Amino acid sequence: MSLAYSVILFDSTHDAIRAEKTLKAVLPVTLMPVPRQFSASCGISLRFATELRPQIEELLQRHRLAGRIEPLNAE
Amino acid sequence: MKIVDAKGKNCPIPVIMTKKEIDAGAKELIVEVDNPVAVQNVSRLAGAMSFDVAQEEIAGGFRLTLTSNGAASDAAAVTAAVQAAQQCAPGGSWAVFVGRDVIGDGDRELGSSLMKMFFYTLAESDDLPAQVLLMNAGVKLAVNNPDTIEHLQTLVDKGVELLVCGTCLNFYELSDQLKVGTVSNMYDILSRMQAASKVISL
Repeated sequence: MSLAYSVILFDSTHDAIRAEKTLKAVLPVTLMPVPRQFSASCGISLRFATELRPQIEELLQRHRLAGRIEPLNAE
Repeated sequence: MKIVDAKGKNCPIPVIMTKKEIDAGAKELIVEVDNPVAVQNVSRLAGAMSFDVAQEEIAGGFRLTLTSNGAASDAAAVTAAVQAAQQCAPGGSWAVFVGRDVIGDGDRELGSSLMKMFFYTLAESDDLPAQVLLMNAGVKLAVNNPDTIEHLQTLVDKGVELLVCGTCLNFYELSDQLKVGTVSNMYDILSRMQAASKVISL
């Protein structure tokens, strides 16, 4: 299985927890610590399969969730 | 013949991978490992499970060919072999004890997020505990939290023993809803703590 993943990073812990609730209701996302290479953010991130990026972006926008998406290397 | 490639796997993973194949019914299999300690551990397990072992050197390690000799496996010797393999992990074997469904005091929602992230990170780590022990509200992590259930299942698949307090499941009326792990009791949970070189409590 060589699924590519991306992460959503947040400036605020509250945003991250709110986004998890909203997104999880619709799509498979996994709460994980912010990967070391992206140290500058709140510490909580959401991982998702990169193929879901369009839906994720749409949901973030629709619910006014302030998150930034970064690719996460599969492996 | 099934080939188990356990090269590059930390102790005790080669033993766990081998046991999984034999438990699944393999009568003949090849196990490849990259160090003499793993050769010893896998051979000991094979002996306990009544398999003969032929060993040869290959590029980057050793190839063990295991063949069942038809005799029954010796349950006590198998347990001892698995435990011995767990001891050879750097720093000895260790256990995680979880007595709650959140990490720390303060906000429960934050504590729940931290617990999910703890198990995600642990499941991705190369240095795994021999056991995860769940008590009191900690048992809920294996019952009604899809995220922690997924991470606990990953740990179990990697050979971690997950013991869940049966008294606690009964108290919370969750006995018939356990999704992952083995229902256990105070004797077994205490014995795992006593055997561990360290116990991390959450």
